Amino acid sequence: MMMEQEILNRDRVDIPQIANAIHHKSTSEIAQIQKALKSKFAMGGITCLVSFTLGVLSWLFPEEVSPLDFAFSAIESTILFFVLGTSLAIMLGFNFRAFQRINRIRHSAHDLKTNLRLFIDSMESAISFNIYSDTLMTPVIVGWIYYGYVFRNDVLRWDIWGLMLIVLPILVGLFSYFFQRYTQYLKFGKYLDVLKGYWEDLENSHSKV
Amino acid sequence: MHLVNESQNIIHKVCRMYCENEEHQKDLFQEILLQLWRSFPSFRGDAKFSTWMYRVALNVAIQDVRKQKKRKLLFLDSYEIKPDTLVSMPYKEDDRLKSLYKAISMLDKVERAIMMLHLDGIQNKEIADIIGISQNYVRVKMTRIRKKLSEILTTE
Repeated sequence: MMMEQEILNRDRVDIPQIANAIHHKSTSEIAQIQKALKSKFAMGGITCLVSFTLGVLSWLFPEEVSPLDFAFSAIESTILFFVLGTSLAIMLGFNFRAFQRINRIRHSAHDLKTNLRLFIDSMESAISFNIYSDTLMTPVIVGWIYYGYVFRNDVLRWDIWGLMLIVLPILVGLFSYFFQRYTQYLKFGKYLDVLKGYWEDLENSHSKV
Repeated sequence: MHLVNESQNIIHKVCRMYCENEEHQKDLFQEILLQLWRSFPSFRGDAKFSTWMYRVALNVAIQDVRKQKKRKLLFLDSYEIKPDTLVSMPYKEDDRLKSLYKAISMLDKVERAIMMLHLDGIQNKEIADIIGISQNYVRVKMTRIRKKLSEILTTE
């Protein structure tokens, strides 16, 4: 083991180098996910606030505040803003939960098994957020674009075009859900499976021993 | 900072056990230091500082997502780069050590962690505390790891 000691001594760094390393930004996968959640939260938060504000304003002052009058009437705009704001608020809830879970493990020092479980849960929470935020937002946006385009100069009627207003968001939502699930699996699936394998092996120790 | 400085060999050991090149080693070293810094308030002193450090370092190393092109330990690289250090060792002993580290690199990340702690002379109770399993299971794991290593070494 003398050689091992020699190698480790060669690796040693001094205190200023340690201090310097501490001030660098983390490049870990979990830090990247947290960063992405933060920026989605900021963007979603601002859009949510703007949506509700415009919703209230277009409801109180339909003549003065109707920024989407090229496609929607004042009442349609109000509904759109409230639907958008509510969807974003739900999305922000998912986001906050995922962020909190990640934060919990970033400031803790549990044993390996506990940490693995928390890490897997955090990753799954962030993945769920990505899947459900897209599943929720894409149909809302597509549905409204479709409505604005088809019924721009017409009243809503329950023929094939009106029915599409229900069918299209459902189809887009389903596609979005499976597409997101697939892409998230491509990104993190195999890695998560390996970590789950480690955790299961450690967890099974209780039943085996 | 001084505590970390005194025990920094633990971090280097973990890095060398899980990294395949110098760049990866530097990144992992930095990540472990960052995590130690962030989670230091969680150190309550009920465990040894080294135990706490092993926990943090191993957690970071095992969660590290970087894909390894091939299973190779930096310890092996070091042996290859510095032939002068090899001269000072009896040939057979050096050869055995190289083979052992090569075999360890074939283990999965958790098995590698247990083996590293064992090679460091850490007691089963402390290993159990770091990994989060019972002492009994540490013994079971060690038996399996030894068997696996001997199988690898005999097939080589």
